[in-house]
Amino acid sequence: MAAFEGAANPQEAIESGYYVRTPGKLLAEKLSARVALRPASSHLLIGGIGSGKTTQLLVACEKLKEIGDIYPIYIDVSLYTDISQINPGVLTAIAGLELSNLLKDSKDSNIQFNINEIRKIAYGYYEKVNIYQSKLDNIKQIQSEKIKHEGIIPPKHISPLQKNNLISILNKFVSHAKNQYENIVLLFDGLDRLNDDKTFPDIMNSEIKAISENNVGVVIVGPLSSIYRYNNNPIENSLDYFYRQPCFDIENDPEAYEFFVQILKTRSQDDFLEELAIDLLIKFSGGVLRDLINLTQAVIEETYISGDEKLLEKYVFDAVESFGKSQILGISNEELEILQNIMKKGKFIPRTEQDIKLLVTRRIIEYAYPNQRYAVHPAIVPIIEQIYA
Amino acid sequence: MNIKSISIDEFLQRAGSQPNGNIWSVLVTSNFNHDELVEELKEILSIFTECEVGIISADNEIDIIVNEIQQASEDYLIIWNFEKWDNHSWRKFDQMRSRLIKKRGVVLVLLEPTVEKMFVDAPNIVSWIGSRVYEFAEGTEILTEEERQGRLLELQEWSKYSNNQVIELAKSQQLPPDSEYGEWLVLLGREDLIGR
Repeated sequence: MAAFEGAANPQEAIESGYYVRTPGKLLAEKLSARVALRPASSHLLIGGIGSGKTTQLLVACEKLKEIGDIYPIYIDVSLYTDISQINPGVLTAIAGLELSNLLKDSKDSNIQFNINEIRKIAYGYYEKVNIYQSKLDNIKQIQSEKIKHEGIIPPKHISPLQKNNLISILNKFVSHAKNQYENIVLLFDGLDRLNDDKTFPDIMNSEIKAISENNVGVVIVGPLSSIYRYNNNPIENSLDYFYRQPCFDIENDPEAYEFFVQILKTRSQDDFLEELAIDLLIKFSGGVLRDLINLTQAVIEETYISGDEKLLEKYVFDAVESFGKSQILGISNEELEILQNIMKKGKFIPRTEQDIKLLVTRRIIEYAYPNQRYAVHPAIVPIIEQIYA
Repeated sequence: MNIKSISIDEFLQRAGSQPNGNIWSVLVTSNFNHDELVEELKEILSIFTECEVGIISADNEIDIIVNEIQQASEDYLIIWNFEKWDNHSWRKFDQMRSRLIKKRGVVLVLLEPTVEKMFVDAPNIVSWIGSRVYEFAEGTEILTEEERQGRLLELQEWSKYSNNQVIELAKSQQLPPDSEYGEWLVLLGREDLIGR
């Protein structure tokens, strides 16, 4: 894979040797250490777009594999189903399908029966039904018909009977799989892209708890908006452990800054990036990992177009200007005022849907070093200054 | 619209400079009849990106489009015809991002109002795109004679070949595979020799 590719598959980035250990106690280390102590515990991970959540999840998965008596399974839910219509029940079905893969060679007829059952519930099936006609004393089969029973992947309504059946099958799978795989941990990724305000808490409250009660460890990635929307029933308290993956405070945290320097140096040739260009790239990334990678790729393009062989300061400014201009597309005047206010006063308390939207789309960035603070993405600050000049 | 305005030639050069990877760009046009642009882009992009380029019309159900993107054998895709998409369509497309990874990349050809919808409702796709949102400067797609000669000189300096030598090498199928030679033949009006 290419070194500076913001849309790269995180697994490929790790395999290409581009992974740089994050400063302080690594989130993946904390998570895997806790799972090692309590394999059947449940964990919720929240972070913004491009903050490196999937990478941390994949690193945690690798660490858990090294432990030995733990069998982690990484699942991108959005590859299984349309998450815009996901209902409670679907994750249990996906968990069942993953476990049925582990057990597919089992000689146990009950297990084979349940593998078939879980596939039927998940994907649906056709049933052949004979149709009879009665004439006087004669009952005669006149034809047979295939009736389709819908599955819950892609998402359809799940009946209470189907739900109980799913949980019961999962329970049998777990008991059987434990003989060979000891402690199973499911890492669900992709649900951070859910953007309605009801589905995620529903999934957390009903389904994740039900899977966890089957003695399965669960790690789930959730949408950033969920921590701001449910003040009465904080999502942080839904599971055993909660983790935040805020953006890196490259302005105040020297370790975070050095981490970003290492990312650029690990991915680039010796002297291609000038020190000043490195400093500007880090500053304008706002501490968002994907933005750092994307901006660097954009500067490489600017350099190529100009015919220069070194990545110079002026090309960083060109790329930042393009980035900033594109990031304010679709912003309303009211939202621009919110951003300008933060720039002026340095204070922000997310309360309205507009505030949350600006956070989710990372026009506003949240930091946590050493205390929580918010700032407008540095790449769009000059554009907003121009607008209000 | 206050975004970077570039000619088709510059877009092609940028696409050609991009490494192998799932690189997404947006080309914004104000021309409602952009089917010609899409066709033209496909033909030349394959030279600059050195891979097969496919076209997908987004005038369909999201599930079908995502399936087409996944199944497409081409490594680089041009996706267009987003005009009927509403907020829900963009959200659904955004949530399916994991299924949209292509080996080389994707360019979305969008009309002005559509690009704003995307920035509002597809934050995950937008984070892939970064700064690669360009306004297509129509009418500037053809280099002036002076610019054409300038670029030819640059290519001659870079390769140490003359224009005639490049044509002869192409005829005898001995031209190196670098995309610059494809661009060179286009500038000489000898697209017919590409791929020989």
